[in-house]
Amino acid sequence: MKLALSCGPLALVLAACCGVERPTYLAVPEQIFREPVAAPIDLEDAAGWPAARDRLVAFLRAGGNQDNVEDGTIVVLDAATRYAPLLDAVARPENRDVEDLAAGVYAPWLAGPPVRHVVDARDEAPGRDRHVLFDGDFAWVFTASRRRLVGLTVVRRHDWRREE
Amino acid sequence: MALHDDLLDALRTVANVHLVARLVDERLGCPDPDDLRVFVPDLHLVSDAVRRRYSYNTNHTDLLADVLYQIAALRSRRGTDQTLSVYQLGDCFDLWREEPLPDRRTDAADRVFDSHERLMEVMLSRGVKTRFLLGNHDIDLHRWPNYRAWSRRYYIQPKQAAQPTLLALHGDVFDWIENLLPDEVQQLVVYVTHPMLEGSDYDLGDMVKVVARGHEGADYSKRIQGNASVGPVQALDGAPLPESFNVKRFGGSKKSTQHFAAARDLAKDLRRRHAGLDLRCIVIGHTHNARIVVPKSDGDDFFALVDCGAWIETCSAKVGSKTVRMPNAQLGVIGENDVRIYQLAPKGTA
Repeated sequence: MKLALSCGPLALVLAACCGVERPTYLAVPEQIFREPVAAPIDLEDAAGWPAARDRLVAFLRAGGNQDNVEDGTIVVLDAATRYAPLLDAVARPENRDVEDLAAGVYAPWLAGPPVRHVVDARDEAPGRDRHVLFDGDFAWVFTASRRRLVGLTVVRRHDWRREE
Repeated sequence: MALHDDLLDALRTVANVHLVARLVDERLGCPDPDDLRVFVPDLHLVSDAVRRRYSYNTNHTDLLADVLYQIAALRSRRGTDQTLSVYQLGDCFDLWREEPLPDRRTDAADRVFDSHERLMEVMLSRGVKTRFLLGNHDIDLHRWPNYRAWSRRYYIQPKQAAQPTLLALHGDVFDWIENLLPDEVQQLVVYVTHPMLEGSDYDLGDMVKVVARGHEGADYSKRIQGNASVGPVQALDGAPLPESFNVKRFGGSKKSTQHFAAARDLAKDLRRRHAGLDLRCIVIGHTHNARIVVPKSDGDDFFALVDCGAWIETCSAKVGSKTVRMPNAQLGVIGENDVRIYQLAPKGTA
């Protein structure tokens, strides 16, 4: 069993590096699979970040399902420690230029290059302000304004990552 | 009145209820009387057309729908500080009996859904918010968006617990542990327990292949797991319930304690790997054999395997001095450090 569980990260690395189709667009899922469920987290609101971060961790721990958040149902047991370095990086203003997404600032945790096509039925019309990186079952949707990353929504992916 | 009593009253408005097994133990780690988890085991639903080909099928689907409507009503009346959650333990659909070709199984799932509209609507309703596990008979569902939230495991952190104390799995992983070569098992167990691996991961292909291999040569024409023996059952007639009822001890009959050692070892390994995790109970379906199993003696490290049974095939139960064969229709319920398995039958039947 020890060996079995230690194989997990290796499997993830393999999944991230080879043999997996890169998604070309993101379909934004239903409300219960989004955090926040409505407008993106305001990344420029430093005072609001700790609470937003706590909600994000709870959502990730719940496997990206708000129903699970509600009643303590957990899918990603170690979400708090697993995502701590990524969330620390997101919190730093120097990491929030749009160029940072393609430059590999988030590469240790999120797969790129960023996807720009986002289908969200709540939009009035297609937009170009979102940049999406991927992490297993989650898509990290950054919203940009004047080349700065100003918002973040994390959603559970609904696509199945097929072997090429 | 405690939430469990409310649930029992609701169940009894639509069903005759017997107690199959009960264990009360503070080491279960779910002390709050206002936190109740209900587990619906294997249904193996198929479409109307396929149902006609088999001598056995899902039992009492209308009753189960009635039960879930009662739970929805109870959930709508509950206080804001009360939790009443429903989990389906996998094999909700039986795609292996429904459709031999994997690529056609999304249509097959829709056919099954359409044949059981009332049941599926209430299961998926926002009133019940059922959480689903993928079983070995419906693992293919992970490919499609509507089923992407179905998981391979749920850790459950009840109120007042600092960490998760329960783990719900379908249970097929324990077949692999007991039957496959060690290397293969080690790889596959990762898919069930690793926090970041889900049904959507492409390398789950290996697991799907093993699941497929498990079905190869299987003859489901007359049975999946066959008749189970659950031992004595007790009618709920208002008399006080014993705190321990029909709990199996590991080391007893092989069939009634099946998977206990593998489940106990998995829990032990997870506790070792995750600091603070005090996982003492694993809840499964899969075997269609409702039972609660604990260690051989009270002095051993506490662990409980709760197998919630099924809603397909039959079980033999001792009712008084008679042995009666009845359609499996069981629910597992856990709350207030009290785990019970109930056998249900439509009103007006035995």
